[in-house]
This record gives sequence, structure tokens and C-alpha cells, in this order.
Amino acid sequence: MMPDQVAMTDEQVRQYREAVAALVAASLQRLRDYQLPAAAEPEPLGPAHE
Amino acid sequence: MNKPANWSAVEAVRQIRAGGISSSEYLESLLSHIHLTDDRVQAWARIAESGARAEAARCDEAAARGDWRGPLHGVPVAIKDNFDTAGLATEAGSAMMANRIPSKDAEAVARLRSSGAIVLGKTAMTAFAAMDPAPTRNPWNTHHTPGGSSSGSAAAVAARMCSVAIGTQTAGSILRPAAYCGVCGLKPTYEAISRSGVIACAWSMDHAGPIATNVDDLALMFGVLSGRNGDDVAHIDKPVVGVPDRCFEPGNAAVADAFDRALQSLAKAGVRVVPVRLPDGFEALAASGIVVMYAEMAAFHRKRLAERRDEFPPRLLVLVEEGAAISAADYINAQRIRRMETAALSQLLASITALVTPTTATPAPKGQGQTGDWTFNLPFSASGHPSMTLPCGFDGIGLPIGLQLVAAHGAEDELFALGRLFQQHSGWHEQRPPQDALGMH
Repeated sequence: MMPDQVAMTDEQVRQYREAVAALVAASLQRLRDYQLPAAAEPEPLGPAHE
Repeated sequence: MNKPANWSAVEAVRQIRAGGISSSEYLESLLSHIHLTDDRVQAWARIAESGARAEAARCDEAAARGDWRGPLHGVPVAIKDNFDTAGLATEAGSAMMANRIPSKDAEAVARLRSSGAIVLGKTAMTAFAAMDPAPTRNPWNTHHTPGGSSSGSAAAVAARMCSVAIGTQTAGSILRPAAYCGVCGLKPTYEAISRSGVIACAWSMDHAGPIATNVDDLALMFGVLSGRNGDDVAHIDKPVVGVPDRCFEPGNAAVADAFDRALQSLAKAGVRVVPVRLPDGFEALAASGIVVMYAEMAAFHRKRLAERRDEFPPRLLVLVEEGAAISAADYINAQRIRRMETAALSQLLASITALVTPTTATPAPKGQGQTGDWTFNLPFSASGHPSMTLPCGFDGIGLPIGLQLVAAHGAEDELFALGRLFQQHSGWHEQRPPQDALGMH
């Protein structure tokens, strides 16, 4: 049986979605509260330049 | 004589090279064992019997000429079903990928074949390496999950259907199932093993790595998969392991006891065990990993979600939809913090040989409805530091407990050296699931 076929009840799905949403929200808040230093140095977010 | 199914990969290669057994005979012994036990365990998505027999015959012909194909000559290997395998269906545990047959091997699979290994088959996994359970059961107690997403790879090795397997980890998907199934697993340094030809979960957090019954086999597999021709018997002068001050509290008394005994074993082996303070931002590292993982999963599935939403399994759908709601600014913020906290963790790891923690807060949960908790493993998937799990005991009902070691980037040899010391002084890795759990009498 493929994992795709593992069923959850609507209530289980609702609870799972709530739990994941709470985890993501808490993670985002922690990151937004994080004191990032002022970006005095360029950060390597883009491709490297020669 | 120890049955071939119980041999490590190192022992199997030794036996084959010594002429004690042919590759074909060794393969047949594993196939017989699989046919006896897989009804209960359900580790396999598909077994490549005829292909494996043809490969074993080629190994035997080569051996007869004195031509050894490589360090894994004649060893059957289980491949998680997200690694492309030429001519063999690769479906990532999802009906949406049914009958997808790649024409080219993933690089990891190609390296295994070049080393003389035989592709035994594709192992069951959670759909797209997420959280909807595979049909696989824990070989130690089939009422319990084997963990995921590398469910079948860990279970196959634990049940001695093969000596070695490969899997992937994005949050905890090598170490968690390996710990739950009482075997060893390695999540190497990020990109130490190529992910070319591996169906992605979250690109910047995906790692490929081996699962085996012991450290020597992990090291053998890592050498083949990474191409690193290093000294695999590294000696560490004055090894030190650090026990973190927080974030890794055992979830029950059994894990706490096993962890304490493991630290005592390490101390008896001459390893200094010290308390360490994790960087102040360690929790932010974990948070960054969660945000990055879900956002990248959403990006990977964007087109599929738009076209086939109704076919998504329930948990994957939730993760992808929550990930799609993460803004670009939040994703970039997460990546910046991830980079900074990875550097802070690297600083700590430079001062010790490895961090040591339980691999999971509890042993394998009961029931097939979920695959357990990756909390203790995700931070190192986010940071890319190599981590390894070793069996370190059992709970009151015989479920395995794992010990996690985490080292600096590129320091897999230190992990192997520590792991060997631990195994020499403990012996947990020699335990096998009870025969009645596997349906054998």
C-alpha cells in the first residue's frame, strides 16, 4: 500500500494542520525576534562574483 | 557458522574474496531471508531479483578471473526509493510518481555499482520523504513505527535482509529510523555525498547517507559514496565529547538510563565527557531549519500542487500548504540566521571531538499512523554538520535506543573513530530483532 493511501480523518487532518501551523508560527516569531547584526558586510545570498 | 544474513558488509566481502561463498550464494541467502520476513516488515517497494542475480553472476565471473570490482564486490545494497536507479521504478513513495523509470542512476547508485555492489531493490519510504507513513513496520516490534522517511532502508538492515542501505535526511530521516530500528546511520556533512539523481525534499537541507549494522560498514559505505579515500581508522588523540546543556532532554527514563550508560561506556573507552553550553542562538538554528525546510518543500511541489492537489497525501499537503505561506523575506531571514548559527555551532564543535545526545527523545512510538519525532536531528540537517547514530540500549519492551554523535564539518573520520571506541566497549550493535517479531520460528 502506498503511503498516499494512508487515510486520516478530517479531525486528525485539522489537528495536524493546527500543530504544523503553530510550529511554523513559533519558528517565524523566534527568527523575527533574533537580533541580526547590521549588515555591514555583504552577505553571500546571491551568486559569487569573481 | 554465523548465517550469511547476519554478516556485516565487511565480513561478506572478506568471505567472498576468500572463496568461502560466491556472490550468487550470498545473494540467494539474503533473498530467502527476505521472502521469509518481508510479509511482516514490508521494507521493500520492489526487489530487483533478476537484475541482482545477473549482477551477482557477473561478480562471480569477475572473481573467477581474479578481477575484483571494488570494495563492495558482491554486496547487495538496499536503495531508498528516491534515488534514481536506471531501469528500475523510482517512485519516492508516491502514487503520483507511479511507473517512473529513470534511464540513469543517481550518482550515489552509480558509485555503489562501480564499487561492485549489487542493487538488491528499492526500499519503502514516506511519500516524498515527508511524514505520511510508509507501510513498513519496526522489525523489533511490528506494532511500532520504524520511523521515516528512510523507513524501509532502516528496517531492511535491522531485519538483516541486507547488510547496508542508503537513505536521505532532511530533518531526521536517516538517524531517526536507524535509531528506532536499532542500527547505525550516518548523515554526513552537507554535500559530502552527491544528491544528483535524488528526488528532492528540501534542496538546501537534503543529505544522502548510509545505514548499516556497525561503524566499519558505515565507514566503508561513506568512502564509496563520497569518493573520499581517507584513512578510515583515524585515531583521535584525547577524544572529548560534549553533553549539551539543553534541547536534548530524554523523553523517558529508559532513554535517560541508556544515555547515561552510553556516556559511562565512552568514559571507560578513554573518552572525556564534559558538559557544554550550546550557542545562545541554537534554538534559532532549529527554527531556521523548520522555515527553510517547509518553504523549499512548497517550492518543490508548487506545480504538482497546482495540478494534482487532490492526490496529495494528507500530511504532505499540510506541510506544503503551510510552507507556501512563508514569505520570501522570512525565508531569507531564516537563511541568514541559519548561516550565523551554523558558524556559532562550528565554533563549539572545534573545541571538542563531538557533541553527544540521545538520537531521539523516546524509542519508536506505537502504531503505524506516524513516524516519530525529528527534533533532536533537525538542527544538524540545518547546519550540515555530520551526525551519526549508534544503538546504545533498549527500553523495557525491547525497543532500541540510539546515541547521536555530531562532529565538525568534514570530520566523519572522527565520528567513525568515536563510534568504533563505543562499539568496542558496548556491543549493542550485535543485537538482532527477535525471530518471532520477524515471523520466523
